[in-house]
Amino acid sequence: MAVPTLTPTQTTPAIVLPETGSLTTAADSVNYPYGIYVSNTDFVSGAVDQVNYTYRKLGGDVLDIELTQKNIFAAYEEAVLEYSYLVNIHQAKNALASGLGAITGTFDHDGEIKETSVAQLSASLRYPKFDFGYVRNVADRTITETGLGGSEPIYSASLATVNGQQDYDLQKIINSSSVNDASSSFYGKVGDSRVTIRRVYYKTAHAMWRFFGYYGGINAIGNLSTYGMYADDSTFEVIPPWQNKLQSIAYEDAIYTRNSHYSYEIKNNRLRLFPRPGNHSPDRFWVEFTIKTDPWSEVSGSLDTGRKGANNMNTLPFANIPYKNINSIGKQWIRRFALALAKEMLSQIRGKFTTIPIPGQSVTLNATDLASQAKEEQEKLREELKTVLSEMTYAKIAEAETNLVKSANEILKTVPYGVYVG
Amino acid sequence: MADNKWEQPDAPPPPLFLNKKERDLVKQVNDELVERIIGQQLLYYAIDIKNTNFHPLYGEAIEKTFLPPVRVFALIDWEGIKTETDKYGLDVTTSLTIHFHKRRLTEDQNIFVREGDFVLYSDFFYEVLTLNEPTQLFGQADQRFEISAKCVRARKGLFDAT
Repeated sequence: MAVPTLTPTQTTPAIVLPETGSLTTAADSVNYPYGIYVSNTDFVSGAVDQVNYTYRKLGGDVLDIELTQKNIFAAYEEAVLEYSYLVNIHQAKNALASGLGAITGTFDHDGEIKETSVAQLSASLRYPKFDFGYVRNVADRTITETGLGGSEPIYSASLATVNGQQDYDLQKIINSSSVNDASSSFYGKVGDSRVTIRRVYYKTAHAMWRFFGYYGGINAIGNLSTYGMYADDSTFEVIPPWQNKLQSIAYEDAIYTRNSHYSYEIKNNRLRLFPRPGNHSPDRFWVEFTIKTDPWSEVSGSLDTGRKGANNMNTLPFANIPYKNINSIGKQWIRRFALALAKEMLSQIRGKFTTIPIPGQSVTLNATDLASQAKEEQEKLREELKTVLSEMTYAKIAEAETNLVKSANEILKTVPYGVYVG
Repeated sequence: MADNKWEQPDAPPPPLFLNKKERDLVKQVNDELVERIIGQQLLYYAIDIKNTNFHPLYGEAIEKTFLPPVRVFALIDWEGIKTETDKYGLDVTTSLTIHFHKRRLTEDQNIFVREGDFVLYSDFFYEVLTLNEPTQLFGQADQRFEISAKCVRARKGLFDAT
């Protein structure tokens, strides 16, 4: 019988989770799926510690854990990113109203902000100033419609009346001026856009000329510099601006409806003057108008800004929360979530086959148990964090404080009033 | 007419779903299970063919020389003590079936199981009578991973390593 040639070589290095992680391995970005936090030494220490934590929690000192430390590093990184994701969503709910129209940025594949100036804002970590949010946007537009200002540019143009001509095509006249008159404020801005006529008048728009009535107003005050009469002993009542404004509106309304010799109607931006202009009519009529613009563009030179700013959660300048800005509450959540992720990985490995053959028999590993544990723990941790955060939105805080004050008042009601005994 | 001869490519593609990584995982789990969890062990005495004076025709040797024994972990089916009665009287035999993890033996321990070798299990020696390799790992023809050895207790005087 021939002697067998024995050349055995072991080709199967056991893949077993070590008891402790390697700091050198943990500090190398190639050992992470993304390597977003690897430049932070505290993160690296956390990842190394997580290896030992996982080893202990899964009983590595008794039985093998078929994971590598890279698996644990990946789980740890994902846990930090998941925490950042959930907290950022929470903060987006808080900050979106204030951040609408504010600065945004561009983001790389890691979710980090590319522009240094924007990144330096660290918006996700800031306590945003309250700014009325979308209400401001609505109010701004509404104010324009009510003729009280707003950020929509209102242009002015005039037309010369023609003796005997009653109809004037304002769209055509304004567009012509927009094309030909480089000195006009709306030069080149009309194009195909429709103009909205907001006011027609035939005298310079001096709101003050009869502001204080037909007779100039005796001992009445205008703006204290260009108008008014008063004697030495006059006293002045300080009134708020809105009262002046309402007065002026009332007077203007009286002028327009009672004093004007002309009226008009506009159909499809065609102006018809009544009565028909004649020899004694005003030479020029003026109109104030706005130019319809698309809702996405900012009108150059106007106060209408923010169209290119943040419009929803997606464009808020929120990067991944830096590791150093996660407090102890977050760090513990991360450890627990990373452990659940490690269980999920282990279940994937142990569960690739329903059973594993052993000599003479087969064995079923605990993949199913691990998978259900991992799923349950992850869901529970996510739910726990989301619940806590939802109780801490700024709106909820305001609500809670309101209730606190109400409760305090209720308590104070029970305090007896002092009796004055003289 | 086309040549209908089947040809195997020089470098056939590896299996897609069950490759080396999966086979290694099976080995790792088996090693852990067999050695650290179940822990049945025996001493394997391989007969030294070079130095044993065996009969040239029948292949038997009254005195056997063996290689140093090696401790081996395996899954052992104890088949009990069987008593048979024939015309010569009672005969008592004890048998085992030993399931070896082939890769552990051949790759890590430099052992090849052969008929005629002996094992010490508990306090008795058993002779390996027949061998079988009944399991292909994942049905892959070149991945037989188990050696099943049918053994019977060696009669007194057949093998003595004491």
